[in-house]
Amino acid sequence: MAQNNALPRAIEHALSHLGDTIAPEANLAEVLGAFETIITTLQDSMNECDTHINAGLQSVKEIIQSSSDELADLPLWNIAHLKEAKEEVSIVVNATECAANQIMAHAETILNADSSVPEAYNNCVTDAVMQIFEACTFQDITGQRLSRVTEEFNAVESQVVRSMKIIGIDNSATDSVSTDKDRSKRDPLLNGPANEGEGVAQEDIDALFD
Amino acid sequence: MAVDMSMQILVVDDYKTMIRIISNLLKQLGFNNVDSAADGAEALEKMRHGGYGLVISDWNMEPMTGFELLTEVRADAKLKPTPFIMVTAESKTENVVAAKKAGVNNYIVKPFNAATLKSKMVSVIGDF
Repeated sequence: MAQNNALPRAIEHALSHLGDTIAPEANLAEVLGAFETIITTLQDSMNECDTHINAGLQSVKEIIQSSSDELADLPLWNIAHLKEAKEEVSIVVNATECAANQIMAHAETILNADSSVPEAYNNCVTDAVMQIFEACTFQDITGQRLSRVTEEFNAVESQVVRSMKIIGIDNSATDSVSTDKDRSKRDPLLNGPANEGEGVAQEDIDALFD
Repeated sequence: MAVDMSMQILVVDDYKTMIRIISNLLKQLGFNNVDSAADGAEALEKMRHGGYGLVISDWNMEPMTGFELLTEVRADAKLKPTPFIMVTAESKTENVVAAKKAGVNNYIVKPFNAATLKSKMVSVIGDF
């Protein structure tokens, strides 16, 4: 920190020089000349300090500019995706509730079935069990929806980690960009389960095959 | 021609729950010879070793999707004639059109029921 002490040293030197230069019987011109020397010395020192400060500020400016450029170069992450992820979770909650109710309803059908006629009872139980299996298909669809939510969180995490690295925040966690599971980049037809009202109904699909 | 109820059916899905559901539905329909694979690559390997009378496959799987499996099957001279039904949550028109172009015999959108599965199987392999 030599430059921090340069100005006080210069002043001290100048004052010492003044004491050495001006004799007790010095005239006005000699005193003014001594002060002029002091001022020149101080100006030189201050210029030197300015140079150091300017260099430091320039360095800081370059770091900020560089970080800003790197952050600007990061791929844009759309916060709307988070809203979509929240909606996916909400759909999952509704779907699981619906499936649970269906399963319980069919289980109640079995419990309440009249067992006095074996064949009828057997048919009733079989039908109810098959409908329970059908109701369990929710797990596949909810699993796919939650996978998309997980991918969104991975994208957020990746963005945060990269931003932290750029601005110099030490983070021991490794990047967790999940490229292996980025299926939609490999297959643009992969859209996952459709929301209610979207997608094509089975009847419309059947028409394509008739 | 009567359907061979002992034919081996291959169910392909990365969710074990779905394999279990479809297998149980098939057994209810009278098909007890059911095999399974967790993705397209495993399914293709099995198909190249065994004779399957029907493939029922999901689309969204890793490392090989059901669509990629379909493409591979239709590109293989030995496997090409194998009836192939896609059972998937991919329900956009572009998906159905692409699968049809790739040679799928029928397409079922999840969630589905036993009646739908049976009617599509009948349209592909015949009445049973």
